[in-house]
Amino acid sequence: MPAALGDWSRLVFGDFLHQLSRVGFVIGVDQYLRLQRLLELAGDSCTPADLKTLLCPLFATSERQQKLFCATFDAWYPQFRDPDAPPPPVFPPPHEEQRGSPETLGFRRWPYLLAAACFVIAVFFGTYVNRHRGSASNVQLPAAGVVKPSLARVLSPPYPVTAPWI
Amino acid sequence: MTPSNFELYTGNGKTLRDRGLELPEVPRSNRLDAPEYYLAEKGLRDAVNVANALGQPLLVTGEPGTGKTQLAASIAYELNLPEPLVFQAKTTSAAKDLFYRYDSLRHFHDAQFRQVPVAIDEYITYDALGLAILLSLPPEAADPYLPERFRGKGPTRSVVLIDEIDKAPRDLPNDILTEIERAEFTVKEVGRTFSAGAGFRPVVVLTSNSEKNLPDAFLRCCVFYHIPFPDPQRLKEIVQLRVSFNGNFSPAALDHALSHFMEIRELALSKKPATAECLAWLQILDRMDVDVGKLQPGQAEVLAFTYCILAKNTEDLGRMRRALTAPQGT
Repeated sequence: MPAALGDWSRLVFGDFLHQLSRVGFVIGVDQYLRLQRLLELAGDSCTPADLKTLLCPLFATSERQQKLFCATFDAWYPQFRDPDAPPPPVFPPPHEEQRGSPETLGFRRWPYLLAAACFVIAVFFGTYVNRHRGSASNVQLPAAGVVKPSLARVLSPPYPVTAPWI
Repeated sequence: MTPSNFELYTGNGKTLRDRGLELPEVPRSNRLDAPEYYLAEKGLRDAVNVANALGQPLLVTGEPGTGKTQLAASIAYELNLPEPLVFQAKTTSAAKDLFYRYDSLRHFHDAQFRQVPVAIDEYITYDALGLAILLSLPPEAADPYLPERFRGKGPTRSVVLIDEIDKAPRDLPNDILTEIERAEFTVKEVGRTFSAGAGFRPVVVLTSNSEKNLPDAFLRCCVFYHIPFPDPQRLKEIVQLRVSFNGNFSPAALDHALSHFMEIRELALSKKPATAECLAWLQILDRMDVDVGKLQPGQAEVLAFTYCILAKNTEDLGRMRRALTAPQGT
């Protein structure tokens, strides 16, 4: 687990890194050091607008994070250019997104509710059918040792059966 | 190519000679694979430069056919480095395979049956990252171990492509992290350690089709970029750069074909065709003189037939063909 950064305000791009951490990025000391190194190397040759595509490969580790990084940067960038601009909107952290809102949870719960309802109907139907079968037909089992003629033919074939191993 | 000599194989036992035809040579556009025609977008360019500046491996993901593998050749070409050294990851790959392989079975066989004792180095074959590290050394240090075609080329930096790393066992990425960072490996069988020469660290490019999640520790040590599918304008630029059309395929026909291709990508397909499929499809349309916007009688069937280049399974092919025959607006 990388060491997490605590006080954002003292860091270069601290407010932006804070935004990133709020939307779910885990920013460790290693990444921050790489950020500083990159700024030292590319600082003179890149414009603020270039920062998005320069910094994104350092922090994103998946396609989803790449999109989230770009959205966070786009929201933060006007404030970076003009500190009097309104603060950027806060995107919901991904873990909250995964947990889901109550509405989402209700939506996701429906397969389980449907399965439970099917189970209750099946149990009810099975009980109903069994009860009706029991009362409607009193089928008597044949007495032990009584074999139907057709079955007797099968059990005692007309040809002699010899077992070679006897 | 006219439709008559396009249909070379008829599947009814008639030979080309019977029909008075000859098997023509298939012209392959060298632009399709040539690194000088590779067009990288700004995000990808920056990711390559960041990886290079920080000396970190670059991990590239994206739909199959978006140019992940060709990126390595493009980097090598533009940085004036030799052709990339490629390691194709397999489900059986081990971390050591990236550097060298030791053929113990052949060594054992020879030890049993050959009269003359043989050196163990004869049974060691260096692979992509191992070769790159050897190439970073002066010739006197590296040449005794290098295959003949690499001798005398060092010291130089190299581009190493580790293709489809998500196919490899889960432990492999973590196992190679230290070696990539240090640019160093040991051949345990002979107890020899090689370290990359100062200033000649290899440029490592890894590709993944995201079929399997890679370990977090590994991801954090890489510079990451996901190549998105290009927008229509960019796709057109790529096509114009990489495909040389014959005179009959007009710019308007190209526009029609590209907008048709983008419509196909919007269908609910299980595997969407990517840039590579688009380039191949356009070449076929060009050879068969099919303008998607102005279909001649009988060409709708030909167009439907060309979808087999774009579709990756029967269901997708069916969807594309149904979309073609469906009335407009449905």
